[in-house]
Amino acid sequence: MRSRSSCCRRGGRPLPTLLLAFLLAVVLSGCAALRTDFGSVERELARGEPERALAQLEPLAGSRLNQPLYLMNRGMILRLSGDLTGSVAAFEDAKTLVGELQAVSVSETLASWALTETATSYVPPTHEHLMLHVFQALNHLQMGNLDAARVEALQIDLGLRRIDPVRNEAPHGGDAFARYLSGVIFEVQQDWSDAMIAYRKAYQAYQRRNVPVPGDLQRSLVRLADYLELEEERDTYAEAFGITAWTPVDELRQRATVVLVVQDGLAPRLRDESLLVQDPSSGQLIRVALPSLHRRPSSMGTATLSANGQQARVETVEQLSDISDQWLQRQMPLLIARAASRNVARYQATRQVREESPLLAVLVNVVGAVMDNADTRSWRTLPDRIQLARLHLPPGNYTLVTELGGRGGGLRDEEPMSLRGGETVVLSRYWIEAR
Amino acid sequence: MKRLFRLLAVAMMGVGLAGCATQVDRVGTEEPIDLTGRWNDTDSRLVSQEMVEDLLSRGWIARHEGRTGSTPTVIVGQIRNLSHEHINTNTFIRDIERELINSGRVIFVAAGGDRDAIRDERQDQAQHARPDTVNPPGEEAGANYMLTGTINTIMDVEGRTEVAYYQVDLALTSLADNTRIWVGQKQIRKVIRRGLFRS
Repeated sequence: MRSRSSCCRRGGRPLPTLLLAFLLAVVLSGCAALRTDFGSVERELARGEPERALAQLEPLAGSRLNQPLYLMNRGMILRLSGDLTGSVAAFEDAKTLVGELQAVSVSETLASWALTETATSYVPPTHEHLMLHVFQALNHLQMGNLDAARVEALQIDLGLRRIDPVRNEAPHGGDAFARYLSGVIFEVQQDWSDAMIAYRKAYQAYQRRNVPVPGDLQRSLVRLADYLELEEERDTYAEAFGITAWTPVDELRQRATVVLVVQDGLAPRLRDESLLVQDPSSGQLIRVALPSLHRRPSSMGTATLSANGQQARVETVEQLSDISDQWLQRQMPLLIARAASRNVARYQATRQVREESPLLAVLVNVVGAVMDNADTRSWRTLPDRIQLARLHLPPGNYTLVTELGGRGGGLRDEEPMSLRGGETVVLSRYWIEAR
Repeated sequence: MKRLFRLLAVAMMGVGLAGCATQVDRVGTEEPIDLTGRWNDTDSRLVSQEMVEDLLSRGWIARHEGRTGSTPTVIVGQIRNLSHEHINTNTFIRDIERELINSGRVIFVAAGGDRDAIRDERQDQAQHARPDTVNPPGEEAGANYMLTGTINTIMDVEGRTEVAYYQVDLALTSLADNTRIWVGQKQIRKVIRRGLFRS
């Protein structure tokens, strides 16, 4: 009975339990913290050294809680380095893992409410999850695996149906380009009605977010509505977009399709914005740590795709920094609630420990407050924006030229290519600056 | 209490270490194991067995033998994956090939990449092998029929429950005149209930 009273207090919680929880918090926060200087990864990418960027990323591989993040970044860096097979494998592993992480972990949820925000496995937000499928689809398209790209398009649709069974929409965006690309994939496989549905949903998504509808999507909507004899819908689109003439589908299917995808800049990074104050009555530290968004737009002005005199200028098809911004704004009430909850938990723990050992109580309070960081993890190798241009070319021999221009110069690539009717070629370029 | 705490700590450590250990159990390849609800080796095997069984039980073989006096020669063409998941159609094609060859009722010729590799080897033989052992070009057996098909899915989602409906369509087409000799269909329906919690 005496020994019990010596280790317990009014609340009945044993001191060792508190210590155990405290130690657990230290361990968990250590697990989740990015043991990678991500800035060096980005610097290597900006220098055009993706292989070295991959080496810089490796320390993240050992982190169980950050495994999806590691795989997504690895997949993207391999993609940028041109190792599409490796990229497909990494993205596929990431998709499997992210699928498993959709279920709730009680221990991680409790830890995020009571101990620290970074004690949880990294579960990508919806827009990152969608981008995982988008870049996997682009990998498959570039490799000429049209059926595999189609699988990704179907997975995008299935994922959106899981999130929103009624409207099949992403809550804070990211579905517009995913749907648009799905339409392109269905169209090159001549699945006309699936393409029409995907284009239509893409159009609705762009409208919902109040961003310009890409001209190529506008033309695709009119063209396909015409082909599928949806005359009223065709006329509505034609009037809304001011399109008076278009190339019929029957003519386009005899041509080759060349798509240029430009990954412009790097997605915004999250920064820890902390407020640390001392409660004057108890002397306890109160810390509120929340993430803030830091955009990193690039100086890329424009990019063009040309082939033997025909030219298409890229259009922005997804502005990922805007989507991240919207996602963070929506998350903020929950993040604030969790930050408050952690302070209450820390306050109570410190108060209880103080009765046993004032020194230990100070330690619990100080270390707990220092450990309470905002979760600044995100898929940082995603682009700031995705741009796209599409050309429909008659069969023949071409020199495909891509030109990207921005501050400090430009990038020009020439690729001689023989194109067959019905063939699809996807070219990918990226523009990353050290910021 | 201290003792209790130590015991608890040791127990937790034990649980933690046990969680890290890798365990491998050998199981028979016939034993169906569904981990994710996706298309798996069991689906591939069962579908190929049933469809080939159906293919061989129809009258087209007897008609071909009666007309030509020879065993029909079959080649497997493209089997497209139009489903919502990445399915390795090569393993499915291999399963079909195995069933067809083992039936002994048709002659089977290599297709696609296998054929290219064999042709390369034949070319190599022409250069490097002893003349009496060389297999000359132009002696390949031409197929009478080509087997093609698709794997499709329809997914229905409600909360954490999903119904995956797989439909495999195969068709055997005469290479002489494009007539469809046989069309087969096999469906699989899976109900996948995703857990709300993970460890």
